[in-house]
Amino acid sequence: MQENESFDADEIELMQSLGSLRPASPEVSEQTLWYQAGLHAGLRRARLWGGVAAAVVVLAVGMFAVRPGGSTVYVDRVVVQGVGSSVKPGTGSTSPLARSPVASIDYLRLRDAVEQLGMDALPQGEGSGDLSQPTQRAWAPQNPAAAPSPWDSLNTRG
Amino acid sequence: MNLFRMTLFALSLSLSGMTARAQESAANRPRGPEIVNLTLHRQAATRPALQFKLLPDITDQRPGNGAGLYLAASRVGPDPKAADELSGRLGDRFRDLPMDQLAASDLVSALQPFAERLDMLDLAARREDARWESTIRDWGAVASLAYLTDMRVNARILSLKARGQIARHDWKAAHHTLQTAFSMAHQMNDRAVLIQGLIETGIADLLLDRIVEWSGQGDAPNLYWPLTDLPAPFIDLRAISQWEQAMVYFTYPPLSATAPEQLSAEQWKNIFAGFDRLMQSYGQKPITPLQLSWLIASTHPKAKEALLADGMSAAKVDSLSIDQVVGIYLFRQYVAASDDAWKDWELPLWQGAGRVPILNSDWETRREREAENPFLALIPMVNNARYQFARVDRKVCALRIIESIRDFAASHEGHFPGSLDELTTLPVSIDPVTGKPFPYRLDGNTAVLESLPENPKYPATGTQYHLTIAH
Repeated sequence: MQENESFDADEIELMQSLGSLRPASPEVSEQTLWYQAGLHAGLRRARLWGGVAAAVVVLAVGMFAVRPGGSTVYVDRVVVQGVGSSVKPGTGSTSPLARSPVASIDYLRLRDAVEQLGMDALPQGEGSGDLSQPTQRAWAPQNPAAAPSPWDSLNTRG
Repeated sequence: MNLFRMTLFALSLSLSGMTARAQESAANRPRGPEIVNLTLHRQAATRPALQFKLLPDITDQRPGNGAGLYLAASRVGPDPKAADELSGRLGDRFRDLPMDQLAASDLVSALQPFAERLDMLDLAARREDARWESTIRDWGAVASLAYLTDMRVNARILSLKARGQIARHDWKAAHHTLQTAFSMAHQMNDRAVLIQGLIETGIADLLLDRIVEWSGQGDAPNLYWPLTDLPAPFIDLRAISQWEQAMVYFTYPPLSATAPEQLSAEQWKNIFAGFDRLMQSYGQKPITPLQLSWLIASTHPKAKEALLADGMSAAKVDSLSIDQVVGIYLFRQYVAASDDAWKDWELPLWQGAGRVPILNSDWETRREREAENPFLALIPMVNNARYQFARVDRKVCALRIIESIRDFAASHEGHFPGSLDELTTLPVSIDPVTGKPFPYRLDGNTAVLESLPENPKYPATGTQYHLTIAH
């Protein structure tokens, strides 16, 4: 009582409020405990796999970054080719152009493709694939014998 | 599960890295020489010397523009798609057929769908000139050259027609067809941008294969002087360099009208906006506005330094907008790179462009540079193109030597010369690729004539002609 007397009203109110506080119930279910245990076990394994994956990524990036230098070994290869073959060597194939068909005939793209691959890099001809195009002619009868003659009218006059 | 996928992804990255390295290594490795086995029939040079000229005389030509006729020729018979497919199939079927079998084949009837087209090519090739109209002067680098596909079809069918005539030893007809085809190729020199020159080269290369076959037939007339009569170089190098160097001005007209230093910030903004279309025409992904802003912002500091280093006053630099500073810098960089690329274009290959070996990695290097300066996409791989053109000239020179050997054998009881120095009647040309005599050696009853690159890293195969003489 003596102690209470040394506090003012506000402090007493605070003390009472604090005194009314109760710790929250843990309410941890058995399912949650199993989940947490599994998660921690999994994370330990994950760190192992993560390390492996990181090492392989570093290896892969390294192989991309380090280009072959002067240590390239050249090997001679003889190609025997018939006289009539029209297959001509290109001069390179590492460009993406060499790996993808040319879908457009825009100048720059076509220029690089042809420079690397030759005439074969030109796009395919476009059309419906007809073997005979309709052609407008000044005059071209299918059957010259049936063509009109200036003498026809004379013959029919009787 | 995600980690497992991540590991798989990393492994595939690693494998693709190894594959890419292996591919690059293989691509940079020089391929072996193409070996052409050829049995020659002794035959003295023809008299009159030029009765089998490979280009029509002016007296054989008629006034007019052949280009229109070439285009009209592609509008008769099979449509462009069918013509492309059919000519390709005929090529697969008849291109490598042995000559004796070809002579008895149905090649003539197989070419019948192209009969009228071939007649029109005959006329077009004998017009005085061919003025190719394209939209390059108007649209620059985004122009299209659709007629080149038609010319490929023309080359295929003319080549096949000539091959059939050679197989039948119909020299008069074969000569006429070859003359048509060579003239068609040579007419592509008009207003030739680089790609047109490359297609011309491809056609000429195809036709020279027919000349090789001609030389291998019994009683075939000697073509030494007609080959010597061909223009050298066959390709109009100057036209190509002029058109290619002008491409930047056709693509960005303000740059041709005004000095880059005088262009306004707004004009530079418009030019930068055009980078998007430029890269699309180049087969790249479009540049987003964010990427463009990043490019300009990241280039500005070094652009400013470069302009000051080039002598522009600090006050002037400070008065320019960021777009102007970056634009002037990128364009100056382009001009310097373009001049470096083209400066030795007209020199013989071995003196100029041929001194620097070409590697496949050059293509990748260029792409990386274009990401920093899209103007650079307008500069082709000049050294590589120059080599392609010299290769055709080298083939003509090698065939001249072969015809000279046939002439020598005719007067020396079917024997080969011990060395090319013995070919004193008909001048022997040097190899225009190396600037040196063609390597030649006797190996028993076979003579070997080589046109090989000197630099082992040169991305060319070269050719070895293994020659024997029929007795």
